Amino acid sequence: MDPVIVSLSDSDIVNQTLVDSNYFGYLIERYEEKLKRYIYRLGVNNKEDQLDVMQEIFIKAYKNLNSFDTTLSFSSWIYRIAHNEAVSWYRKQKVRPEGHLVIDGDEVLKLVSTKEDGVEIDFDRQINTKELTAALDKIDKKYKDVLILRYFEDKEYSEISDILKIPTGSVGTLVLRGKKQLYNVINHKNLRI
Amino acid sequence: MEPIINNENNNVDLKSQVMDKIKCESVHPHSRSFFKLKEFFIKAVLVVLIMIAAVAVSITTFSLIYGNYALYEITHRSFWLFLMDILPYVWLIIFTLMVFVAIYNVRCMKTGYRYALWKIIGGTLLLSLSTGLALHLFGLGFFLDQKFGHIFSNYDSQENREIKFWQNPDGGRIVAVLDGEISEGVSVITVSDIRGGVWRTNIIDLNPHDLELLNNGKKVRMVGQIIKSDTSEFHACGVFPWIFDHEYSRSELRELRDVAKGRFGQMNDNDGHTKLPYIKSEICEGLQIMMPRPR
Repeated sequence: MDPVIVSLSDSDIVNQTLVDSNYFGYLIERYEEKLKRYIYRLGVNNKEDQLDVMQEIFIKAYKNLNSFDTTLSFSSWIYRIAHNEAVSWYRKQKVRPEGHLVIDGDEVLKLVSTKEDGVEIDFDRQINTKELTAALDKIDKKYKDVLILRYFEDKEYSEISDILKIPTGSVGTLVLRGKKQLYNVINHKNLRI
Repeated sequence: MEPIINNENNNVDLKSQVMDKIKCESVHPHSRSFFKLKEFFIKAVLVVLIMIAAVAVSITTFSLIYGNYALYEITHRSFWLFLMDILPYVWLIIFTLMVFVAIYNVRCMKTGYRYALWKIIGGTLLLSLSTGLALHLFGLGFFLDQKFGHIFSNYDSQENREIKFWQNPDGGRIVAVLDGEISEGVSVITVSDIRGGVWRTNIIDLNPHDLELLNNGKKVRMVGQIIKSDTSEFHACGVFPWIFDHEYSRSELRELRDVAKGRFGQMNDNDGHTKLPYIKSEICEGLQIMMPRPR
């Protein structure tokens, strides 16, 4: 990518796109992989479906570029669109979303067991991604959504608040409860290896 | 459209597909004014909702303040029954509805999700209550309730409710205006009630304050008994001012209540029969003004 473009912020590219639509391609380049991974985690796992959903996300983002508030983060804004598109996709499919974790489970478990939760979880580091995925699919969707954003997308509470459109205070509560529920599900199923 | 293959990793090239679609289908961003208008509309609706809720508060406040507290002991069996009668249920329902929609509206605003629900509920309530009380202080509750009562026949304004309650000659109550003047020594006068009925009214049991109220030519509430219905003869036992001709200040209302209490206070015995302190005839003795509930 052109180094000048690399140095531009998302908001700058949005402004440029409104003048010249070709700039939108740079935003696609920046967010394609992140969003593809995100919707995969949310349950859109078929390649063709992913492509359809991704197209919808970017077309919708393009159409609504003027609604983007530059005082907010573009990342949160486009994640919000991605989240909505993934949700409407599996509503159309009438299937229960089955997420897939695509990063190292060990790293995630370290995050899940950080001190911020207040729940002391001594996860076995050898627990694998597959089992964590299965456990995440068993917890309430509202908890799953925040846990994915917090620990797999590495988002701050304020960003999660903007993406899921819930108060920042509620994000903390949902993370805490989600981790408790996840912990119970994992214990209950004896998922430790 | 055929998938475009990215040569580096054989993946379908999303960027090209999206950009082609934007160009081929002439996709354009919605205009900024569209979003601004949408946000403005949501805010305008919120203002309207808060104002309607505030009007409901001002009319409710007016209804509560103008209730006949001085007489509730002799018109109702308990304070709670009296309160249930004076509460403007329609406005309370409208208030609740407006607050609920306003809360939903705030949540639909661009950054509405950032606020905790209790803050939105608290803010909406605070705003509508304070605006409503301010409107009441400016007399809007009184004015609108009267206006709605005159315009909409089905609207149960406080004045109409009071009329329904007080204009009931068979029950011993009439809302009337004196015809002419009361000359000294006269015991029978003529009054016209608000339904157009003319009553020859015996006033020997009225005290000077009652006579003064009658004599000022304004509408009054009168309690007593029909002596002869065919000749429209009424015996007056007490007179109270009609308080819906104009708006009264709180101190004026308090004063009127004190007078009414002095006139009718501690007069009903355990059976709900009224004992009047100034009576000269037996007609007013044991006068029963505990009436069926007006609604």
